[in-house]
Amino acid sequence: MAPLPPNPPEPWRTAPFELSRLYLQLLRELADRVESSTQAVVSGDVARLEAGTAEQCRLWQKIVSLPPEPGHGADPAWPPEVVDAQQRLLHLGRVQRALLRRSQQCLRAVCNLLAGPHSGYAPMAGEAGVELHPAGKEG
Amino acid sequence: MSSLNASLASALSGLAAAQGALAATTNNVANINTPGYSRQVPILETGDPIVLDPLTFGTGVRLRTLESIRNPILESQIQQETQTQGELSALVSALAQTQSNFTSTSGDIGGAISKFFDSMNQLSTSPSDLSLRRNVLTAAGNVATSFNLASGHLIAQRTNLDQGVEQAVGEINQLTGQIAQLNGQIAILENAGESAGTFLDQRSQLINRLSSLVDVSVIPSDNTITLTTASGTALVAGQQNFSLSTGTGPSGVQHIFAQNSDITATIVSGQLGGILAARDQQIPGIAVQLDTLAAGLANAVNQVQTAGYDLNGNPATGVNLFNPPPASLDGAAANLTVAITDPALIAASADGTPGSNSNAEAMYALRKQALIAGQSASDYYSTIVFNIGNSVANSTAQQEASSLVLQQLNNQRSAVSGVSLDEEAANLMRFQQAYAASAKVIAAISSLMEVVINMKS
Repeated sequence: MAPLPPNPPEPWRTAPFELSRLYLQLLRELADRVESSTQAVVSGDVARLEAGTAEQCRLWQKIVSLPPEPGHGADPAWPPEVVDAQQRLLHLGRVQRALLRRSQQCLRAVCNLLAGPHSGYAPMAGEAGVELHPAGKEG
Repeated sequence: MSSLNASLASALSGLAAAQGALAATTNNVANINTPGYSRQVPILETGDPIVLDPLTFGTGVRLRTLESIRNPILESQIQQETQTQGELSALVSALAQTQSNFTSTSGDIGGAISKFFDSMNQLSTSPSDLSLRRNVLTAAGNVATSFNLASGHLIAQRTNLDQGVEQAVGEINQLTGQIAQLNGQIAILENAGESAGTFLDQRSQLINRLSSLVDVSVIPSDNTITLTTASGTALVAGQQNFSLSTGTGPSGVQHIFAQNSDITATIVSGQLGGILAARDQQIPGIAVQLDTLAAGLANAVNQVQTAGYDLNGNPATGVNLFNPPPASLDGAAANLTVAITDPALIAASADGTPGSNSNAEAMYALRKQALIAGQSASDYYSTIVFNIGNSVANSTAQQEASSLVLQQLNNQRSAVSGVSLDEEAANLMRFQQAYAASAKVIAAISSLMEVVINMKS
């Protein structure tokens, strides 16, 4: 995919077609990045995953900064190819979430293992529902 | 001093070892595309030396064994992932079928509910019109039919999944029998110091197939393995397999038994785990929601209906539009029916005066009222459909994630155990040259012997 221009030209702000085109381009690029990150998670390539996540954040910032399509309010009726791109991105996001969740479980098991025989298998401090206690204080 | 015969024996051992190594290489190349094949590597070792003081003479080489290259940790990970894959595959398949039943136009409950309220709205414009009253009854009948159909689909799907349980148990028994048999053959070969690589590969393939069906733990012991389910139910111990059986449980569906003990609740992974999750958790959950919706809608409509007056000005007390669902809600959707056939009995009037439409309007107003769990009937139905779609999407994503991990693990396995044609080509030349060299040594010894024989004559 061709890289996006650093600053989109001004006229697209008022042209629905141009807005859709730009939105579609960003969505597709973001989907490609998520797919690439998925491969990075599977192969355990942390550096590639981090770079991919940073790039995804950058693209996401661009997407959320787009104005709503004129005349369609907050829930614009996007063309079919945009809807397809949204669906693909959603699916890839779900796959990525599933993979990251599995990786998190593996990490948790390794952490418990490394923590030694005195540690239990309770959720680690900092996880949802588990309060962090300051060092040196009991209870 | 070593004799010519000893040198000949030494050269012969080289010939035999090279021949064995060539055979292993040939077998590797032949199995390059065989799924689950682990490449074999000839392990050569020097023969026991003969000590003739003060010298020590070698006695050649021997092919100790053909070692199959495999990584047990990787194999175990593949088995684990295959279980997850089997479970998700069964779950996605079942949920996708449920989703298609809910999104098909033939059993569209949401559409039928909307049309019922629309017909009630039309009736409110002309409450004495018998054709409009008949339209209301038809629409109410369509609502009932759509609930009956959706519930029937869920029941039929549970029955199909029940058959899937029996089929899976049959396959598990067949596989455990084959694994037990292979265990015996592997034990015999390994006890005799022979290589059992081919049988080990076959057993590994069978365990993978078994893993796709049920959650399996592999416990290796001397020359054999024990297989149990994740909860510890024995499936194979050495050369003995323990068959699972099925039987109808208290809820009328097939339960799984191991040595007369019900283990249904302990199976959580593999295809069987996925089938059980869909049959015992997902589908009953949807059925309960459907019953709640049917009962909530029917009760609300009946409450307004019985508070009004029919076309003849008679109070409709006790004259329900839908037959009242059971208090337990069990089977409310499956048995929902319209209670009246006479369109004049629809209570459109709130006070019994001719032409009054207040009660019809009150029934139409139910369309947007929170009837079930704080939601209108249409919204509650939309939530059911959304939740099913969401479950399908999440399970499909998990399945894809599992496929990616499995593919990665299989790639890693191929890197360790797979056949490399380049490596085998190099080995082929190496062993071919070793064979040729040994043959030349034999030829040289032969000519030396000839010299010796000629000297005596």
